[in-house]
Amino acid sequence: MEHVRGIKISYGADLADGRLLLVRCVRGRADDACETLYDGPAAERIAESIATAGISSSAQLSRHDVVLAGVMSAQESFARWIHTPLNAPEKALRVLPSLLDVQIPFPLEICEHTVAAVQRAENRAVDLLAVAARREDVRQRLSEYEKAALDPEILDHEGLALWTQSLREAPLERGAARIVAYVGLDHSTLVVGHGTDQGFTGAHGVRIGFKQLLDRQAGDEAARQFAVRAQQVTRAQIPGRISKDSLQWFWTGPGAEEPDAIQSLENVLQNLGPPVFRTHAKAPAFLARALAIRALGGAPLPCNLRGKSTAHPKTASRISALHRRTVQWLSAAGIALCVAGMTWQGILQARDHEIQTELTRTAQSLSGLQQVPKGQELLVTRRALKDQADHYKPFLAFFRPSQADLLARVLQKCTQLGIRIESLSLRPESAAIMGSATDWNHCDAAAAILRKAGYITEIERQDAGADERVHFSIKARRGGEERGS
Amino acid sequence: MNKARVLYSVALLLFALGLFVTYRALESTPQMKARMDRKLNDLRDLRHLAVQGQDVMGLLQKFEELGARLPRPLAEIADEAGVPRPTTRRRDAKPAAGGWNLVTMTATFEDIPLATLSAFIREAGQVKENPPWRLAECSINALDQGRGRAVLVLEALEKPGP
Repeated sequence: MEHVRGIKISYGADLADGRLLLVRCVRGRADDACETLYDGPAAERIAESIATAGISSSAQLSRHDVVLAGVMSAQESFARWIHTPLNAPEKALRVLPSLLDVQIPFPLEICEHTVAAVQRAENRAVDLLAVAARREDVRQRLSEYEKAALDPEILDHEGLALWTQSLREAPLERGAARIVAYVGLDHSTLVVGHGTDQGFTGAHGVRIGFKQLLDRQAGDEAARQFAVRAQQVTRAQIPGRISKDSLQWFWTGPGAEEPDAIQSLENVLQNLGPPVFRTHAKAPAFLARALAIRALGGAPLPCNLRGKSTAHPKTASRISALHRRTVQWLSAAGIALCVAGMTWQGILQARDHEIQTELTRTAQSLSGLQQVPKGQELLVTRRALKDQADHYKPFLAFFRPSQADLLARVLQKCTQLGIRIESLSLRPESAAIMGSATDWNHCDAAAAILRKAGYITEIERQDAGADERVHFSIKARRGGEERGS
Repeated sequence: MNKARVLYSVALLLFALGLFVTYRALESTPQMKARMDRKLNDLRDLRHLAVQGQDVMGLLQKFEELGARLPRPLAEIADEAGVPRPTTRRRDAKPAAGGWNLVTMTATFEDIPLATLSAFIREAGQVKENPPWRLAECSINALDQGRGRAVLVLEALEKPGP
């Protein structure tokens, strides 16, 4: 059974032996605050009495954050650990009905049943804490509550409620065992638990209450019968390896405040150990408080015996609300994911579009083309610029050294060295100088100027003739890099 | 199928759609990012080309800023350089960028003191209001007494009027 979620106020109604005890608990940040609203006979005019306590108004109880819990006595119900041979909890839950059917004294078809806990045994097999009650008894119980003008949404198991509340109010030392004894007017309940996990072991009803215990004639016999029952339960459910010193006994219920009854019981229970006897605080309201605290949610071993056929209308409403919320959350999450995904795609596409626009614009601007194919902007622009480069070359040429500088240098050098030029030709790809010099080596100077301008030169000289001059010819072709002007 | 189940199915479908859309968005992100990175690289290269182009455009701009769009006549230059006027022949005109043309002119001096040839060439290359001439080729044959026959091939940029 799952916890009812979102509960802020809970009511626990302990209805037994014609007496109603009603406790309200309010969820607090640090701790839950509980108060007893009603403690009196579950008789006629109870509705008015409860109304004065402020809970019978339908507006209060119809709120989804308010819940009322009643109790199914241990005598009318059944709580037992079912050991399955299976390792998978889902499979164990599936086979539970057939396993449970052989454990309870009634056909499962006429019972309401639920699972209060799923845990693994030492051999890794799954153990289930099953709780069951005859549907007829559940209806009878609800009818009793109805007579008290109450309609509990949760019908908890008395034994589980007593056990978890006892552990809550007085934690159990590891390895110790405990018996929680609820003493009512006409009946009592013994709840047993032990072990390292402080687990619930079982709950047993005893048809003896403090009314019988306080009877002057039959009181001693009632106490003896109580002790016998307690001994049977203890022997059956507490392993022998637990020392008797570790057995704790907690009194609770209305009878816990009847000292004579308790004293007579403690006297006859000495043969159990004797156990360490204690009494829970505010013992009369203990069960009602336990019911209310558990109804707030979060307590271990949750249980509601109002199954499908006896379910409270509010339970169906809660399930419907839960489904509605699930649908809303799923839808909202789906829409949020869609929006987030599409927004992210949109952002990426917008950025891509922005880059593409800038790319196209730049390519168009540089290439001078109106249409630039997508993805080929750089290629097309480079081609276009290469084509355009020929048109820009003349402009570049005007900012580079021209043949005029070379001519001026050649003429100046020839004048300096007394070289007579017979012919001179300067072209971008070739050059030629023919002339005569007074010295064999003077023509080298003219050739050096051409070499410096990037030409490869060849010099031909003739021996001085009658004019006593060295005739030469320099042929040059473009081949080297210009090494400055 | 009741209403709640239909609503639940629709919500589940919506959620699945959301997961699908998100998955697609996340899946396509690296691909999109790679594409954008490639485009950004291309854009960076284009901008680099643009910077280089601006240098060339700057040269063109200098010609555009001149007061005249035609080079000075060579006869006028010869007069200013104090040399005999050459015989000129316009060889060709090739189109250049920005509506300009590269014109090639042959200037032939049949008999010129070679010492003054440099003055002519220097004067032709002066940038005043007009586009300058630039010596592309030259051919000189000496005559007697420091004189010679010179054939100069000169280039200039001109922009014919509309």
